[in-house]
Parts: sequence; C-alpha cells; structure tokens
Amino acid sequence: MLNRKDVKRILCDLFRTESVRRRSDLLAVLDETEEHNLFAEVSPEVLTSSFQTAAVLFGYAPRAFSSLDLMTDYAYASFSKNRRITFLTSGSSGEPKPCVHTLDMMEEEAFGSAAFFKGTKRIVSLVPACHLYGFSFTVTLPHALNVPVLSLPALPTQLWNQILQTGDLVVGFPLFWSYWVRMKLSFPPRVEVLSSTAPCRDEIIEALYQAGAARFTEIYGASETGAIAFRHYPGSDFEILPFWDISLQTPDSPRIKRLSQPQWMELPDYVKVRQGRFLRLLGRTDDSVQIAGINVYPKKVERILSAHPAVKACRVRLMRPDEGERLKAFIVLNEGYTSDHLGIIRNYLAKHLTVHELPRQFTFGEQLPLSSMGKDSDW
Amino acid sequence: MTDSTVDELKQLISKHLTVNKEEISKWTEDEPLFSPEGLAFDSIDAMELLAVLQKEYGISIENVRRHRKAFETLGSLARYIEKNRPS
Repeated sequence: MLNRKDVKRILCDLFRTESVRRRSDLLAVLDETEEHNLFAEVSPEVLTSSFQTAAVLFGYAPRAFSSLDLMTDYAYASFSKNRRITFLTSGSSGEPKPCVHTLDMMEEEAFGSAAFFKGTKRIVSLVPACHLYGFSFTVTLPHALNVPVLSLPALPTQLWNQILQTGDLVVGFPLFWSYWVRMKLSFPPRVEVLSSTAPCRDEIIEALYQAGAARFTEIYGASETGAIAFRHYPGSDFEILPFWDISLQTPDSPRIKRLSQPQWMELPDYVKVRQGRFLRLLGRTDDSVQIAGINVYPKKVERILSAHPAVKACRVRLMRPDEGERLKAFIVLNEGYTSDHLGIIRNYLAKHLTVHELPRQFTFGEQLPLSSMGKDSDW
Repeated sequence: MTDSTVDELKQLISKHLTVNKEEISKWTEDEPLFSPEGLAFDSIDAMELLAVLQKEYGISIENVRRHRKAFETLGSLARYIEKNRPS
C-alpha cells in the first residue's frame, strides 16, 4: 500500500508545501525542482520544519537528515513498523491537530474507492501527497487500481492537451478547476476529473462536463475521517461511500463510523440526510471558511491582527463572491498610525499566519462597520 | 520598457487579484511582487498571475522554474511580457 518511492514523493511534497507555508519560496508548489535539488535548495527554516512534520507523519522522534535518501529510508522503515500515518490539520486555535490513519483504514478507503474508478489507466496528481486528499487518491488509490502516477505542479498553463491521455484520472482541487474553465481548456476522450478539499461550484462542474470530462467526481471528507461521500453532478447530493455506516439517531447531527472501526464521529458540516445514505451539505459546524481548499478561521486572523500595536479594532471576513475568494480586513488604527503602516502590518501578519490566512484586501476606517441595528456588517 | 505595459499590468492585477486601486497607484516598477514589504503576493496569486499572462497576453508559462526571474518585480514581469507576447 505504500512503498519507498511513495514515501520519497510525500517528503518532496512536504518540502514544497512547507516552503510556501513559511513564505520562503512562494512559487515552490508550481515549480518542478528535481528531488535531489529540492533538499539542497530549501531554506534551513523549511528544512527544520519539514523534519518536524515528517517525524509526526511517519511516527518517529524528530531528527535531522543529511540527504533526502537517508530521510526516505528512515521514514519508510518507521511506517513499515508503525503501519500508520498521522496527518496534521489546522484548528481554530492555530494548534495543529493530529489525525491518525492506520494501514487498515488506508486499505479500506483505497479498495472501497477503487470500485468507482475501474477504467482508470493512470492517475495525474496535482495535489500534495503529504496531505490526506493527495495521499488517499494519488498514493494509495493507484496501488489499489494498480496504475501509475504522474505528479505535476498545478499549473493551469501546462500543455494539458499534450499531457493528458485517454483513461487518465486527474486529481485536482476547485481553484485549479476554476482556472481550467476560465482558460477554456478541454479534455481528451475518456478523462475523468476528481475534486476535493472545498466545495466545487455547480457552474464549474457543468463547465468541466462541457469541456469534455468523461465524469466529474467530488469527494466530501475531512482530515479526521478521510473520504466520506461523493457526487458526480452539479446540484446533486453526496452519496456516502460503502465503507461508512451512518447513525440517524439524532437526525440534525448524524454521526458516521467506518464499518471496520468501533468509534462514531461527528461530521464537519451540518447536513440533511436523504434516503438513508445521501447527504445535502448545509454549512460548516465550526466558523471556518475555505481559501483555495484550505480551512481558515477569520476569528483567529482577527485575534492575531488585533494584537498588532497599530490596530485599535478590526474585523476579518471572507470576500463577497464579486470581490474574490480571499479574506479581507477592516482596521481601525490607534492614534499615531496611518494607512502608510500597511506594509508593517502585512509583514507582521506574514510572520504569524499561513498564506491562505493572509487577508488580501485592507480597508481603514474611523470605526468598525455596523448595521443600523448595531450588528457587524460588511464593508 | 514602456510605462504603458506597467500601467496595463497594474490594471489587470487590480481587477484579477483584488488589490485596492488606491494601493496600486503607489506602486513603482521596482516593487517586489512576492515580498511582504512589496506587493505581498502569495502562491494563490501566482496561479492567478499565470492565468492573466495567458489570457491577456497569450503567454503560456509551462515551467515556473525556468521563468522565476520574471516574477521578481512589477518591472521584471512587464519586461517579460514585452519580450514574449506574440506580435
């Protein structure tokens, strides 16, 4: 289910995502740096944080390595012994939460999902294998289907008509698919499309079918659970994957459990259950919003922004659809500060927040925007 | 490099990367694109920039590694556009 080559790819993707997360190289995930160069070229800070995260992922005490090959050998040996991987998910407090996935769970999910992708001849991965979605569909699923993997950066400007082949399953994410549609790209015959990490808008799904996708599959899941349900068409409900059981004892908050595991779990969204195994998603149960497929918490960003000495009060929220798909901030400044201090504030935020959490747009005002009823309002 | 390419690029960035118009007016061609001291673009903006280059100028970047220098400043990107846009 996981070989040494897979572990090496997971580690390379970890270096790339850490480079972006720590802002040491913001083009890293779009770059095709070769594996041996990657280890040598990342900053010492990225190297240290990658060593720490890899230790959590593969379950060994944190330690440094002098080469990618040595690190791969050590991580692979650790996985072979522990038979589990621990993914980290960000929480509203900013403290990463560990989510353990055992080899049994991985096999159950891979073989349970493989039944839906029987005609696949190759998997084209545009997502990092060090995150659960990438791991499940570009590391373990290819083993269950016995097909090769082509891993590429998610560049909408690649020569996709020369890269994609009949029988490909392209594992992407909503932001990438929205670029695919905007750039009017098309698919060769019998190419399937997979999307997850955030809801894919219905008009994007429709446009992907119009662009020639043989089938679109959207996966609904979470880092704690893995893949839970899927759907193929815009506007349709998600069907629960066959390896999940669902309890409707409390219809407003149904719980799920893997058939092979004893513990019941809460779903990350409010849902309405139809016909026993179909889910209509009604919104997140926490206060997260999704930026490019990553859960972020505006309240956490607000808390960190408030701590800057220039900031007297602030609000952070998701942009309206007509404004974009990022966070925006409204700031009331303390005396002695002006909007010219924005660079300093941005610099401070960049040190404390991930790329996805950073507000894109800043508005300054004398007081926080309130509605006529005295409640927070948009600006 | 013509000022018009820099101005055109500012307008496109303002439209597609949702940057305030007032903020854009202050930008110089030496402004770093990806530094917090500069325009503070990030990896999500990078994808948007690539899409803008292809859609508005017909420039398709298939290998970011080979063209990294183009993304250093507003001016370097404008120069790259002038050199590579189809005539």
